Amino acid sequence: MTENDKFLLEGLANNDKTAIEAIYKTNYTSIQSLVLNNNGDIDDAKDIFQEGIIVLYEKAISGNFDLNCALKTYLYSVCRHLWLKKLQHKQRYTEQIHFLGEIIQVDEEIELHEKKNADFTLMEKAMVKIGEPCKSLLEAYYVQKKSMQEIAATFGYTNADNAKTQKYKCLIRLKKLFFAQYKTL
Amino acid sequence: MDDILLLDAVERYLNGEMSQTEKTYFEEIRKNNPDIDQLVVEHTLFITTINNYSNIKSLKHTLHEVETKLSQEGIITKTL
Repeated sequence: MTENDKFLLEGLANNDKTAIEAIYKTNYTSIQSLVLNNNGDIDDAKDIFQEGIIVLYEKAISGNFDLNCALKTYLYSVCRHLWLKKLQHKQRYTEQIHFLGEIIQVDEEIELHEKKNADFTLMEKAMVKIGEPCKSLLEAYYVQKKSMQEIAATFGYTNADNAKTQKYKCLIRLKKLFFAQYKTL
Repeated sequence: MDDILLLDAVERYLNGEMSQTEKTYFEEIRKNNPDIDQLVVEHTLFITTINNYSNIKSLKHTLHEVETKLSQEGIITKTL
């Protein structure tokens, strides 16, 4: 793993566009070949690449910038693993598989990612179920990181305290919806 | 304790926004009240999940922007 890899990983952890662009530029083509040579199309390649970056991001925000291998090898291994799973799922598994790149074991990371991904989907569903204005209010605070003052102004609350109370009411509803789905899994 | 107050407390506790005095007081309440302690654990799990959701949502947004830009520049092929 080079100093540049570490730098890119730190950038990725901060959702930095320049770092992400650099990761795309040096890795996308090889991932696209991997998918195209193994029964996939361009859209599959884009999806797998994005998911691979998310796995890498999860690793980076856990504070672990040490991949024990080059970033390129890591991302290739993750995408290869993800694509194999998808092929098995779609039952498009062919006997001949063409993987050329060097790989490392990433089972643990993928397993962790799948758990987080399931939570993400549940949260997304709960957000849809909760409806407006709760959805926009919560996303303004948690996703767009807006202050309660800004939120009060945007949504038309008379003051930040009222907006905050509303935010917590929405959060409690969201929490109930989220855990209700969890229990029915 | 009111559910809203408790959520607010948990959020500020997780974000490191409590003063030392408030933090000590909050930890004391948890120690002495198992019901509150349980709620704190639950809220913590939930707030961690919503924070993860938010991070990934923002990341996906950036990924989409970068992908669009690189497609326009011809670095990513649009079709075969």
